[in-house]
Amino acid sequence: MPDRAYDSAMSRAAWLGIAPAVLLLATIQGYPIVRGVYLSLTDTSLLSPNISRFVGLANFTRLFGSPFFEKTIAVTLVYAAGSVIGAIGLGLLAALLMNSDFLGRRLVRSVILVPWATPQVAVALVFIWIFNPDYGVLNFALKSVGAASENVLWLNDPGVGMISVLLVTIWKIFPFSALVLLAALQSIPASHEEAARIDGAKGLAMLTEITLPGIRRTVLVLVLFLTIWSLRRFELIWLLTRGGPVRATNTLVIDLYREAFINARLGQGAAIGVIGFLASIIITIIYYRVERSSTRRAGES
Amino acid sequence: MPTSKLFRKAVIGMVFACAFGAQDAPAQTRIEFASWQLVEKGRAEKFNALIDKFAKEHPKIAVEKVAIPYPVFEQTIFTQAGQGGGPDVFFVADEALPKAVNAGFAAPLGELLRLSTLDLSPMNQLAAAQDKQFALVWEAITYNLIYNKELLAAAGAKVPTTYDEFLDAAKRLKAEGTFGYAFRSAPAEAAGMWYDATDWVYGLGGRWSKAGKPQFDSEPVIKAVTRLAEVYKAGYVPKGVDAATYRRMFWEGKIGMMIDNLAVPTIVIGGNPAMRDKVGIAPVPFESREHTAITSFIVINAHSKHKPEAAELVAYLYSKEGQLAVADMLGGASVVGTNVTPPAEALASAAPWLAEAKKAEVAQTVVSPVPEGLAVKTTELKTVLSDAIEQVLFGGISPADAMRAAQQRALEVAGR
Repeated sequence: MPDRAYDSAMSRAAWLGIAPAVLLLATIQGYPIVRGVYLSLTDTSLLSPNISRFVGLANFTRLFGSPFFEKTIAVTLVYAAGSVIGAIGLGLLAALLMNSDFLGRRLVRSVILVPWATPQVAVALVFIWIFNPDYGVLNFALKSVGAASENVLWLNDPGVGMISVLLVTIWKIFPFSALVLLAALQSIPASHEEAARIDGAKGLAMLTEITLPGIRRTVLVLVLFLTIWSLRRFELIWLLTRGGPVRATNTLVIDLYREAFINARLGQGAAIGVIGFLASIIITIIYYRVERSSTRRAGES
Repeated sequence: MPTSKLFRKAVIGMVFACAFGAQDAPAQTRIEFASWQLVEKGRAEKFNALIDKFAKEHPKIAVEKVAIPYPVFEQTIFTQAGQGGGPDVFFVADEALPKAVNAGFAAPLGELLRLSTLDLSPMNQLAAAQDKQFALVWEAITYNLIYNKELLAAAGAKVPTTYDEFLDAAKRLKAEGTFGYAFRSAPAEAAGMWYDATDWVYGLGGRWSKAGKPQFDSEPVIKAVTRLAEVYKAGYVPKGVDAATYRRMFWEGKIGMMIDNLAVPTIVIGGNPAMRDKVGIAPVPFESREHTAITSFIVINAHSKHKPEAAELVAYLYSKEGQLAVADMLGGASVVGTNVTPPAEALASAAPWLAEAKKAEVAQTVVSPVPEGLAVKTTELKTVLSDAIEQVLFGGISPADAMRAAQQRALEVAGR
């Protein structure tokens, strides 16, 4: 039938149209994923990657049997949650500030972007000096104002290490949240705010009733991006603490790097990578579910 | 058309120029040479000059210097070599040599160099296996007590010969407003922490392993970690510092004593020439009079496509001229790859602390830092040790508990 022939031709054309993209994705994303999964089932060494033995799930068994793995997962979750909440919280405050009308707004907008624009290595090296227990400016300042009686071991104390790493991370990434949220704030129709104001809404009520619902979807997207980025963030943590002290900042990615590139056990490292990959997929699924239900609720209301 | 003719002439001219130009220029083979000493203060300048001199005398060989800092050197080179690449000539230290040989990265040198023409020292047996010479000894740098003569004198402390005297000197230095001692206590320095702790363990007659069995929970190891914690908790050491920082602090007169390798005085004087007459060397002040050394080797990459040229560079570095230049660069005491020795007066003027260092050597026995029978597991054992020391220093765990847990992990690593 002519209709069927037309449909079939259209379908072929559609497949042809997306073929380059599919091919590209399969090459630059699909192959590394498949290769990574395969590596995780072998005992491949970084020193001789061409000689490897299939070991089934042995790498995963060793991982789950390790006394440190549970802590690594917990540290990863704390780090991801802390950096996402901190970056969005601080980003929102910065976005609200940048969205208001005041003298020097342009300067503030530029200055807020500085951490985002600074290379991670430079940030880590500067903060190592700021955190230096004996000569760092942070301890000097705290002692000067009487907030601390002795030097705080910012990067050496297991109780403080994670807080320090989170502080640096949030400082580094919050401008991104601020920019995205600023764009979202500016897309809220002025008529909504005007109507709320006429209804007598002010300050906090305005924020919770108009502003936050207006940027909810943007926040959700930000949560997704920042969570996945936090799960794979490496440079800052590695340069600041190498996962220490006493594994207090040892996230999955740090473990992966240590196993694959220091201990040269590529197979074991790939197994950690697979777990991180699965975690990212789960987070993405959760995001889409939340997004769908929130869209449905918005539609119903 | 005149324009087209002109264009044709220009093209022909360029082709001729290229062809004859190419004939005139010597055909160069480019090799890569990687060393951590190319970035070390006090050494890098002379080392770069030495390689440049080689290149000048060998116009057919262009040497690209690959300068990688020591803490990431092995990992960087081995990652490249694992993929079939890497520099043509590179350094390795201690346990990295058996790893390189096992992984097939080290080309047998007997096939590339006439070894008998080099005045090699017997120490090169360390780099021989299965009747093949896989590397040449570049340097063996022992660990000793390195102290600031001026600071110790000002604090009224004598050069320590026992642990109690060492504690007393550290206490007096602290009372004077300087740090008594320094070791790596930054989480980022796990690998170096191994060397720092080794002298404390060997100083008590301990070992990291015996016949392939880890000894992390042995009495000398626990006692050594207890002592390190004692010094740390008394506030005698700067906290959270890496080696580069505490060495800088030493040359700035903020630290009185270090137990470090004999490359460090050269680095210190390179950082602050005023330290030249202030640096003192003495034996490690612990009971057994055993101390350790870093031995570094030079390797020709088995994957190199330019092995003859790489061999020419190595031959130059191990010639009399090359070794004298290396001795001048490294301070003299540690250059033990050949029997070439610089004239005594040249050494004395180059390194005033050298006489003290020689006396210290005589008083001590050198023991390799590589755990016996577990050489290829050393990298993982370093992480086990640094985790345990961190737990003691920062986590409030007792040395005995931390080292017992470390022993379990070490056994697991050894058994893999």
